[in-house]
Amino acid sequence: MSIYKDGKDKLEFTLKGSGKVYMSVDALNQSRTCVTCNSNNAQVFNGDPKKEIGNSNSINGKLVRFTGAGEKRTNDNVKFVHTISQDGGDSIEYVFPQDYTGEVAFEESDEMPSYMFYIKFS
Amino acid sequence: MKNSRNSIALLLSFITSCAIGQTLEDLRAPSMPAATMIGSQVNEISRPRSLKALEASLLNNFMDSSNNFVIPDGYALEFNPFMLTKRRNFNYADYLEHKKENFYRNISISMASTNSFLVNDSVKTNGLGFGLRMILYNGQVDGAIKDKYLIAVGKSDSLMSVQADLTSFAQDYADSIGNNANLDDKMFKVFLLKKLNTVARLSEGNRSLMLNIIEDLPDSTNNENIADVVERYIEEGMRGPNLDHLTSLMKDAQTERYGFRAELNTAMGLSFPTNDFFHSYVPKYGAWINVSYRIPKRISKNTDVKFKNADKKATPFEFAGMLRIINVNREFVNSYQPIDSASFEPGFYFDAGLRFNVDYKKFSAGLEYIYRQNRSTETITVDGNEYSRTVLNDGYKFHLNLNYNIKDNIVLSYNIGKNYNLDGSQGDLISGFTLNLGFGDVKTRELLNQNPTR
Repeated sequence: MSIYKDGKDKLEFTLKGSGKVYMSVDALNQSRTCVTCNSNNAQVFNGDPKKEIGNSNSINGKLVRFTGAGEKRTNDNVKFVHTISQDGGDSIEYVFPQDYTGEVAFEESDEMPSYMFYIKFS
Repeated sequence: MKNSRNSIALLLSFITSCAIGQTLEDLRAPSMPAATMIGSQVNEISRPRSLKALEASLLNNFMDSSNNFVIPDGYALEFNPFMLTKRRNFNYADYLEHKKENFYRNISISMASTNSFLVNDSVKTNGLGFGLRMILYNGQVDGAIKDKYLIAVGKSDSLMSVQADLTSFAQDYADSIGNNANLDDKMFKVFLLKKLNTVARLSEGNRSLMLNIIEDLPDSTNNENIADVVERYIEEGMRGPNLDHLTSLMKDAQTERYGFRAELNTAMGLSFPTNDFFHSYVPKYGAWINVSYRIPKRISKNTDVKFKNADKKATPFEFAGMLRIINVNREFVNSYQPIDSASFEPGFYFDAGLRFNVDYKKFSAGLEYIYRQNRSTETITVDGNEYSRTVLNDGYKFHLNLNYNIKDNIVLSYNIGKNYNLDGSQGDLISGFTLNLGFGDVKTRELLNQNPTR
């Protein structure tokens, strides 16, 4: 299977103040995923506590990539809910594959979907 | 006087024949309490795994083409409500231990319908059955399977972590190509190795695995395809086989359990004698508890710390006991009673049974005994005088069943039974050797795969 790469200019996150930025991920339907963020190479599994991916100064103006390796362990479809949040600021959710609009069509039968999505921080 | 007595006896015996058809089902732990309650022979069990599938199954079977309510014959549905939820971050390893959450996770609801619900020997009507099954205690998972499962889960997490990292690093390299047009096709290995040294959180195991993967990347890897090749290399060569192994172990963990297992079932029937949705009876309801014990075998303790749980394993021998109480609705039975001056009080049915099972490779055998106690009362009014008598419907059923699976869908079986129908002396069963050919039928393997509870 190919990597499901979503658009680079799809998601934007407006930072407020100097609060730290975190990522977390939840997996639904008994699926499992692991996500690496390229801003500081932080990694998180679904269900883990949120992990810091940088502070406002370090990622402001950057395009940050999130790379996930998922696993479908039952017949149910995978669903990964990624939450990027800032202390004292906003948060944004990216749900794979529901929010995915990349070139390669998502196959529900894919047992080990790998995916990438980007967030532009400003 | 003698003629009058004979008439009363004749009438009372007629009432008895109008008693609701109540048969003893097999003691085998019922996976479908709803069907058990209405005595339905289900051909196929629908096991929806989503709310949409549940809705579709109900609408397709209970609505005709004109959107009228119909009761299908031989329909059965069973679902596990927990499996219809989102199961956020649910970890299957929870089922390997006795956690309190597993009690509600293991509840299943069943529904069955028939057009042959037996009221008495000659009268049949339609019926719906609703059932609830609760696993109170689910035994212990075979130690070796538990260890293998936990190892496979650990390996899976490790491989996912490595894949997410390496794919991300490879994409970093691919993204950097535009700014470094002079990089040759083998520079990506140097890039990846340098990148590894910048990530402090990597465990020694993951770091070592990543080094091996980087070294072994296929020769066809180049600047254009590195992210895809890394992803495919790990997925096809490592994660795929491990995921197959993991899902196989997950199924084994559902069935390979030893020790005590207790299951509580409740069910009720619902009948629409005039086919009017708003005119219904609850002809009977009941509850039963099954307690089984699968004998464990102690195995020599494995010194490998990875196999810390592997001290016991399940054997093919299982004992089961059952206690059941069923109440039959007096009003329902008497509505089919053709004699106005007579009435029938069916009373409670109390069943107790024991079963011994052996299931070894292709051979399986079951020996079962069920005892039933029932006191019913028949009353008739003749010339203003009320006559009644108590009828003892006690009885027992004995059944021996031997099976040999010649192939996945061909079974050679031998059955012998006593009082098979439990309606008096008749009903003994001797089927001898029979060959069951399951053409297009559900295979044992498929049934196990569809088990809605864990």
